[in-house]
Amino acid sequence: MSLRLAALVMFGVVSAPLAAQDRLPPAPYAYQQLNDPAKEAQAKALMDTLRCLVCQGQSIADSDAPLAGDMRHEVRSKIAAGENPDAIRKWLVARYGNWVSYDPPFDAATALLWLGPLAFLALGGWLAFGRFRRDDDESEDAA
Amino acid sequence: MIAELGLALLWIAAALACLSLIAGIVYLRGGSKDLAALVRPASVAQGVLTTAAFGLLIALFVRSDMSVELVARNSNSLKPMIFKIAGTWGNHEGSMLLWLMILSLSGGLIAIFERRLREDTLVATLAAQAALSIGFFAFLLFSSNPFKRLPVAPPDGQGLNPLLQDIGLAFHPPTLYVGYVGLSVAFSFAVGALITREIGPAFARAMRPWVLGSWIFLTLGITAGSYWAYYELGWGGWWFWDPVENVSLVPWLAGAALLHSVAVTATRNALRAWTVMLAVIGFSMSMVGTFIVRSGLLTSVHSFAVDPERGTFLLVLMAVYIGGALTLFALRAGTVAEGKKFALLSREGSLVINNLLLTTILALVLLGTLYPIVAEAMGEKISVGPPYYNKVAGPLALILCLVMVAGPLLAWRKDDGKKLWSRLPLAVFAGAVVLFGLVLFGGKVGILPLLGMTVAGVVAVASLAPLWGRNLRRTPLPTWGMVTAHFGVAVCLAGMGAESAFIKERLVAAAPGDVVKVGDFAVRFAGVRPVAGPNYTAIEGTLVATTPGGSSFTMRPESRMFPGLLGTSPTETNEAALLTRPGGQLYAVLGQPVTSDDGRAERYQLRLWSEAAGVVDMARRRADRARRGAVDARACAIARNLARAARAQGGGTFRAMKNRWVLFVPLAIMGLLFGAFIYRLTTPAETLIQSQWINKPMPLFDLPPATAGVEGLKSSQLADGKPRLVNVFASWCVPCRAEAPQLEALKNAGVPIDGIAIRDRPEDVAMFLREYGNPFDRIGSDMQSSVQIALGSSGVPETFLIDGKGIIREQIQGVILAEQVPEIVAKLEAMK
Repeated sequence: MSLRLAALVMFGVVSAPLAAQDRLPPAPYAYQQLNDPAKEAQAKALMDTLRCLVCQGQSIADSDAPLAGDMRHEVRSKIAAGENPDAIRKWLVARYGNWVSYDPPFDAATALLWLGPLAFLALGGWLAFGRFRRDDDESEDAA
Repeated sequence: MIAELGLALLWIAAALACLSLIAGIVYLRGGSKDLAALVRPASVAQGVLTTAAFGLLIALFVRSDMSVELVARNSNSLKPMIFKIAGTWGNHEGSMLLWLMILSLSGGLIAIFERRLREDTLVATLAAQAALSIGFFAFLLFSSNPFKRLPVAPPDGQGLNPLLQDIGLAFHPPTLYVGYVGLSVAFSFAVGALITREIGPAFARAMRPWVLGSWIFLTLGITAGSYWAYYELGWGGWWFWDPVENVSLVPWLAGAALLHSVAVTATRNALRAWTVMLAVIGFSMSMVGTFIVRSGLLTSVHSFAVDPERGTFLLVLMAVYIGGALTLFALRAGTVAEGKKFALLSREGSLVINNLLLTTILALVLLGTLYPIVAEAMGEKISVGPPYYNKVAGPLALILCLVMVAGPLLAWRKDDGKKLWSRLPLAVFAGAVVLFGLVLFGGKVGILPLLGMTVAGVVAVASLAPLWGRNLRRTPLPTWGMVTAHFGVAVCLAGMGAESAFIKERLVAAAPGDVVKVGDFAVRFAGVRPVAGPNYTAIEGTLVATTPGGSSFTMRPESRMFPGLLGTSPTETNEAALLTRPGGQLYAVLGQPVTSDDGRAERYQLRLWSEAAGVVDMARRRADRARRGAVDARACAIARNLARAARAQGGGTFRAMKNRWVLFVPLAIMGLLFGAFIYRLTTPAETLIQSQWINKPMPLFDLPPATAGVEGLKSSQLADGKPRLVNVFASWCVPCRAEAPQLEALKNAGVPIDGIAIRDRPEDVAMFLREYGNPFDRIGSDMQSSVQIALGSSGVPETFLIDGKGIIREQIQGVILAEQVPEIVAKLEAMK
């Protein structure tokens, strides 16, 4: 726990100087799993794709920052209350912006991100297929 | 004396690099042949001297010579010897010297062993290698001198980052570096061949062993790094799609693509311009990777030190080398014929598709890594993580694996579809068996892991197909190498799929004596005891794991504490304990002590993972072994491969490329990349995440009083017609203390202020108010940050401006400064 925090401070990732630590025990669901394995699996899958606001290189599932623990508590509580993971993600995005989700939406700002690889593949394919020999052209590429 | 000698050797080696470059250029421009004769010995001497300098740096670390700044900062006399040695490259300067040593040594080795190339191409190659090393010599000597002395030697050093004091990680960077820098040789060969226009099988054959060697080292380096992350970081994962991991993957992908295309060029004299371009791209990506890691350009768990000056230096070096090589490519490659043609359904055809897919994956990894920078420049903050890569790269990788099934079974030039099918039934059958097995018995498995394991089954069988019906003793080593490597891919794929499909995680706070069931294991927590290591103290947990078969095994995960040396802060690391059984692997991490509410039972947080399916871990270990097998087999194979390839070349007339503009595409893409880098270097990343919950009503909440004698806070109280401030603070937050006078001033100006105390205890809040004053009308206690999260607030202190209707109008992050006070008063006044 404080290993990760220490590691992150050392690696210079923690953005705000955490001069002091709170002295409260972690929120109940920060380090405790839901009893229902199916719900826990949903929560885990969601937490793996939410970005920690303190240790910004990690998901809230991996981060040991207290705020990440509280966010895990929030996510697990909402899942336990029967909320759907997509709705929880939307709820968080409404507060912290798309930054908080590791799964970027498809919109004007991310069109290039999602379509870029396809365009690359198409261009590459078009160039490559020009190279293939058609029919029984046995010549050594004379054209 | 050692340090001074080391520095002197570096200067001499740098001078020799200049000599090689100048002599090479003059010779190539029609100068005397005697000059060419200078280049070989100069390259060899440069390699020897740089290696000697690196040896001297190791000697300084071994002797713990604290008068050298680098040693004092990164070593300690108490450290075990192996980590003293590893400390040599566990820091910026030392690792740059290691980089340079490998670069120079590679040049020396080409000079000694390369006899196949034409003399002028060889001189051009060595000159290119010298040009590369001159830049890095300049970087080292002018901005990162490893041999710098301290005016006064401290009594002892500050030690090595404890996380890095691990045998696996000690050798992770050098392995990766050999891979990275090995690609520099391919780069220099490509530049040399472009200069003298000798692009053909001879050039491809000269380059091939280097590409193979560096790709093997990259594979080993990445594997070692993932394994280190798996057991040392205690996160239970091995790949996080973190920027630094991505930039190590990109050269690997380029290397894999190059390895396949160079085979086509060497064997069939085709894909020539493409091979040259990949050779340039491969090392370019190595430099980009080093730059990103060394400059701290991207937010990552791995970024070591942020140093804009060094970052700029590296950026300029990269711009010169990559820009120069790609410009040369764009100008010259038009005159390079692509070589012999072939049918789509042929060995070459499958290798082209392989290259297309590998480069597309390369491009998308790079795009995903750098896109957040571009988006930020356009005013959007986004994060790109595992879901993106799984969705986009996952399917491409699976298609790639299917191509891998067919490729090795196809004949060169042209093959028949029916024939191909006749070779596949067994492989398809294996895939079907895996698929049905998983669907029937696997429980709920995600679509990507399901497809991954199915394809793994197909690939595993098909990869062995080239051996069928052959006399195994007479099968050439390259075929063995290919079969082993492809089989390794199948095993790796099976491992990845099974890992994500079958892993079971248990997080528990256990008291001694507690038994936890995880997967098929029953784990009893026996207790903890303190242990002392050479330079750390630790709490060691004892866990007794019982397998379904009834046998018991003791596991001892540790939580280690390294004392801070000479003013550095102490560091904790976790040593996970791994138990590998035929039934699966159990992974245990000992976490923090948990004190229960009554304060009696001392419990410890435990993290347990079990990989239920036995296949997983075996698969992963087999993948490692297979890859290592591939290393041996393929390394031995080089010589014979070359001999065989030598026979398979023909002349013929070649067509020059028609679409010349295409040749400038790589240069343009690199230009965009550099644009992003320059933007990031000049505009540092904004790490504060602003709330998007602005111009929206206050979320509903009802918080109890944070301490005795103050009122709690309800959201309904905030819409009483009076604009006000809501201050999010905590008694444990040091900056909040600095903010107290400004809040006092605001209160005196008649501004109503309410407080939300985050994760705080009543007695601490009371003490805070006594000491720093109480400007608050009401203070709600937010024990689990739930209101903070609902507000989109990401830290303390933060202040929200609320209008009379309870609508949030503005967020101020961090401490309110004295000069902001009148501004805030005016803004609230305007809301009335």
